[in-house]
Amino acid sequence: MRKAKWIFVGYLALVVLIVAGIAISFSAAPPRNPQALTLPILDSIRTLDPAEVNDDIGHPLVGSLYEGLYNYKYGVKPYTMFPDLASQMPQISPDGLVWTIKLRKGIHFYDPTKKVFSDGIGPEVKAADVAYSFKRVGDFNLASPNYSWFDGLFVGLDKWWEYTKNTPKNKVDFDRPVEGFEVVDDYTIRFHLMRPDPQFIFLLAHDPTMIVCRRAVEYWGDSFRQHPVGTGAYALVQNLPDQRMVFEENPIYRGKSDIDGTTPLAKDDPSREPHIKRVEYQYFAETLPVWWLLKQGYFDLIADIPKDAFRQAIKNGELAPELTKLGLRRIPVTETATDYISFNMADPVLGKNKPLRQAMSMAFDRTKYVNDFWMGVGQPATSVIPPTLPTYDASEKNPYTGLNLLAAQALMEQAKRIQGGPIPPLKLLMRGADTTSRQMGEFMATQMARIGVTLEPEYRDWARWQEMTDNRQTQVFDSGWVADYPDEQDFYQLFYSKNIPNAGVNSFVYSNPAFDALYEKAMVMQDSPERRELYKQMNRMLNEDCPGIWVYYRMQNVLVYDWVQEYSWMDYGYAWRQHLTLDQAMRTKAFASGVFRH
Amino acid sequence: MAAYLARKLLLMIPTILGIVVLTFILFRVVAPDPAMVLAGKMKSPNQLEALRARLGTDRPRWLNFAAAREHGFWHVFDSQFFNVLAFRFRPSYRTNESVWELMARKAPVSLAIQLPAFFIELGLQLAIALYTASRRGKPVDYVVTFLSVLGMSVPALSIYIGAQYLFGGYLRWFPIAGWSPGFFYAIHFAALPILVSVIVGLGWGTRFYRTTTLEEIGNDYVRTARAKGVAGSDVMLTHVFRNVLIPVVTNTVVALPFLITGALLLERLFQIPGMGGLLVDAIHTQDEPVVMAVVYVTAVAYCLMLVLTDLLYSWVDPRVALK
Repeated sequence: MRKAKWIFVGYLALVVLIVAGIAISFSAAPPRNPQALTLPILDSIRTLDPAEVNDDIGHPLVGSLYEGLYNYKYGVKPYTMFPDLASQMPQISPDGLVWTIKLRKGIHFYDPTKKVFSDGIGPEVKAADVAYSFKRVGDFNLASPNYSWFDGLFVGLDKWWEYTKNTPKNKVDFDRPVEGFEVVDDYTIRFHLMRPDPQFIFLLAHDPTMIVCRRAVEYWGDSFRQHPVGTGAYALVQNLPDQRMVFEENPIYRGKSDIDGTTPLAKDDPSREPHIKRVEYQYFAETLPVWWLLKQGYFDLIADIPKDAFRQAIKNGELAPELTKLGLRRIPVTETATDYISFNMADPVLGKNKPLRQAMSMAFDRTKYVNDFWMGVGQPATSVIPPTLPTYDASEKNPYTGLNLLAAQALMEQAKRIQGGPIPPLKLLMRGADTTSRQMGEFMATQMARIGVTLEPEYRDWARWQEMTDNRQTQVFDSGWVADYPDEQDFYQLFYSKNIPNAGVNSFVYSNPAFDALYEKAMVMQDSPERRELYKQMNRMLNEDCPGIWVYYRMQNVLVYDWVQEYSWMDYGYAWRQHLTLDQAMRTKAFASGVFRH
Repeated sequence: MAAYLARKLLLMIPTILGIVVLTFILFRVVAPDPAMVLAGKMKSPNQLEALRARLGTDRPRWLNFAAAREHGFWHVFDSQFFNVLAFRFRPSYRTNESVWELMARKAPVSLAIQLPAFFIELGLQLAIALYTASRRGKPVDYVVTFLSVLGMSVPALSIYIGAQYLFGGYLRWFPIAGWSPGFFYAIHFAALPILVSVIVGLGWGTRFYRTTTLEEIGNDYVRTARAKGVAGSDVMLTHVFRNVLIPVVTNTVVALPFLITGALLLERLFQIPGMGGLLVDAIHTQDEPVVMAVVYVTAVAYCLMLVLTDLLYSWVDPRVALK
């Protein structure tokens, strides 16, 4: 019987030990590096391999570690490109099919682990590395999710794809030439395209075309995605999956993007980038802890106010006084993104009934939607083209995006005649099954009920939503598009009929030969007044046809402490962090004032 | 005993098979094509084909007759289902890491939270239950009952967020969330999650063990012991406690596999890089190999623990004989 007593006593002793351990640990808070910029990341990092990264979370990280041939000038609007690893803008043949690009000299890969290269200094970036990096994206065995950008664009890439498909992963010969990637000499690469593509320049400033080091890829194999060896301003020095990533200055970085490696900036040059020598990324799955940690001064910057904290953060349209007292400032940003409700134009009810689509668009109260669901942060949309793109024209009125119930009801009469009777209930597919999605679905249904249209919301998680829209199994569905590059073509491709098959991006299933003709004409043109006029015509066509209800243009509220300067929102490009500056004295003073406590 | 064990182990097979088949159907038959999910917004048929080949979803789901014709009969089992059944999980769809390595990295983190929380919780539950049962009908009993019911009624999520705000955000006694390698740093970040785990689990256990204790207190042997003049605390700790141990053993052993799988919400909110967060992320992102591996391993561990529970019964209570 004493056994039971001992078990009980043992238990109590264990509990006391655990509690004592916790108490002791209170003094064990990990020290904070005063020179570091600390930022949250709101999802786990899948990969740091440029060929594989295709998400918003990985993109800025990869963009600090690697470089592409071109980039966008930081803080300059309208967006302007400059040669990064390239030494000059491309020379394009008159037919637009051959792009010749010269490379900068003296830029070396850096290996922070010093495992691939014992002193950390890798080989110089040469044209063969460019060709290799492009071939990797076209390697069947890698299965890059970015391959669709390349598919059908380069001469000979289809043959390379077939070759890698039929060759075991470790037997692929990357020295095998691909016609589309011609290495002219060590510092000249020539791309041969299948068709003229003015948007190719944007692809050259996009993650999948960033240049990787062949020896590092071969050394690390599959784990290359966790061991970046690049030429960017930063190098990864610590990677604790799902916890933390630490970037430090790449010691052999040239100091600025637009100069050669042979003429680097001196170490003590004040304009030398990166200005902040250490950036720590902390991974957080939920936004509320991030919000509280921001208020404690732990994070220096967040890209948006968490929805749950919005009412606390914004008072009367301004940042709450208690936050400004902490030294936070708000930078409102209009993203190059549009949210909309799509119609499936292949649907027998919706496709043939333009007045129905127009009426539904007119019955939707965008202002109320933005106020109710986005706390007034967001601009009601008047077309699919967001205001940050050049051809957006605020003075151009879209008759179908203003709330007008009387006109909508009149259009409904026409719609019923076309339908040959009452409009049957329509299924509305929402991309989420959470409370907010349900509230949005109900809101949309209520809006449409005012003109006698019954919307029946269905709520699916994102994966199922995507599958249903890809398979065109929907009638009406909420959706949106975030721009990949500063060209309206990125939005207009969503309506090009050749993008309907094979789960293409035209999930509207919009097919209009007149639109297609304009699109085909514009897509091979360089930016010019003529092309802009074509874009405007396409926009008017879409506004009239109403393949979707253009709902709102997204906005974000960046919150940043005063001690972080030179922040500028960039929709495109990479290597943004290296431009930021950190006033350590100001931060130290703020913490000493007792406003924060760690 | 041996016959009993053999029978129990054999009975595990259909149970585990059922769980695996059900999960497999949910993720490989009902769920959307993971290649479509991974491909992102721009897709091409070539890209999808390559992704399916990498993910292994281009193979037959149940039986691979083509491979059998080409390479021999046994290759008929070179299918998605039999690969899972034979523990041949593909790497994580998202990170391409081995699921075994992922679990090996994350399980200790979950245990670092769950194990101390479990022991503190159990110790407190038993102590409070024994104490309140011995004072049935007294004010302390009513107070504890009220608090226990309150603890059971408030959603765990509210307690997590409330504690995070109060202790981490407002009072700043604990770090709000996070994790860091190193023993003492880990405890530093683990303290608040452990505390809230204990708070969340305290109510039901206290109620349950109090009821069990009360049942024991009403038995003849307790009355006899008291009639013989045994002190109250000795009656509780030496006589009653031993019999209360049977449900304790059941709960403890059965809970062990779930200590490894972690607490889903808790880990997400407190940013603990453990198994709970892994499973939630895997479910959200259709990372089927991770979900299958976690479910499969948990199912096997759970079934084994049930057998162990039976064995422990006979140790705790000699009246229980395994046949």
